[in-house]
Amino acid sequence: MINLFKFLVKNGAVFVFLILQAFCFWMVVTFNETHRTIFLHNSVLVTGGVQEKITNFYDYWSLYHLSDSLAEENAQLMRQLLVSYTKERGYENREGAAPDSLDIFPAKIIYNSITNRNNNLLINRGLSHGIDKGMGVTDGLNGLVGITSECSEHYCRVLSILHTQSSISAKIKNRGYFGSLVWRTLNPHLLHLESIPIHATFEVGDTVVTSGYSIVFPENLPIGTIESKELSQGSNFFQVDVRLFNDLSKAKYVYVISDPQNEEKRQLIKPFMYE
Amino acid sequence: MNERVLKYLIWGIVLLLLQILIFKNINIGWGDFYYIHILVYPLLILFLPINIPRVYLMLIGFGVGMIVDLFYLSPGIHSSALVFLAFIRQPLLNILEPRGGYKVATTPTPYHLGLNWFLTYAAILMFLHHLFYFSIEIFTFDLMLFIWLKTIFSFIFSMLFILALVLITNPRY
Repeated sequence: MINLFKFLVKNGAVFVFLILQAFCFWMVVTFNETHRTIFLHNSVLVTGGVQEKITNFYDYWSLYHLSDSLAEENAQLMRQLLVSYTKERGYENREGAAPDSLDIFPAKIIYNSITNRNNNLLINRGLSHGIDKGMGVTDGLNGLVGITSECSEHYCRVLSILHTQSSISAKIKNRGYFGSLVWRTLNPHLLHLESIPIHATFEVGDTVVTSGYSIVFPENLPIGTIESKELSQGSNFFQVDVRLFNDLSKAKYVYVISDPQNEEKRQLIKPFMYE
Repeated sequence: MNERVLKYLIWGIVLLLLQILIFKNINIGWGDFYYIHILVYPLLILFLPINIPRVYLMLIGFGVGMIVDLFYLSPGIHSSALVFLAFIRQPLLNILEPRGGYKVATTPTPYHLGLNWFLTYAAILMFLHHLFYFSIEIFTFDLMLFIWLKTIFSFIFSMLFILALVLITNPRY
């Protein structure tokens, strides 16, 4: 120990100088206000850039959980938004009216296809999560994905809107004319809106939304825009092409809309239901 | 040996008292800014024996600096400047070595080595010390002008007072 000290005294001038200066610097910066402010300000400038790069790196690894929690948050917000859509009609003040409420479950698509004649999807939520068949599935508020057709404990099969058997009740926004939205081509972006009567007035570019006349989807969910309207000889209905808002090939996070009153409604409509 | 240490200590205490009681309160300037701050305590480090190891030199400098800091209420600033002074004292002594070496003198005082030599030695060290001290005190580079102004004017006045002190007391150890 003494030898170490002697060695330090003999050869360690620079070393001791640096240590003492470091200690003095620490004292200056800690105990003098102006120096502290200047030091902190400048050190933030320097470390700011470095910190940003480091957090970007670490953030990347937590993206997986982040997107899950964001999907949950989205579901909550959507729920409130859709409930407010239905409440606007003013029905909650009527005596004996059923309460309007919706449950929204976020889910992830684990199987998808858009190239077949009839397309199905698989989502990673099932009966144990509160989802049943016959519930609408949307891609946030950007467009529709399909309707759940079969459910197991943990997974659900969804009938994509790109399926020949899919038929969604849709209307032209603000015009009121409604019809069935079906898929007849092989183009994953275009669907047909059938049964728009010949006397309807609307224009190319109008928005198509869900009509609310179904037990699957609430009203006014955006679907797409009208791409073309044609009237063929001798027909009483327009041929309306609808271009979807959402790209089903890129869909990842979806939201399943469940209406607690669905069972009651389904019992009444059973004889007429298309499925 | 002990007598020398005692003499040195008395000289040191007197110097520190002078600095703290009198020179601390002199803040002359003109216009808005105070340019003249007189610092004479580095003389303490200047007068230490020539052969003392650098590490002890720096530790003593640190200690004296802390004491001055205590009274100036600026923790670390004076210590930092004195440690720097102690660090460069040795190489400077090597550079300023007179032709015959330092053989007789063991402390770099005007009594042993001559007033001219001492003035050179003191001026260089005091100037560097003041520069370092004011740089640390201001701590930014935008006020560089002030650092230089303060250094130059304080240096002139500090040197005057050191000269006066040395001529009057003429320490012999």
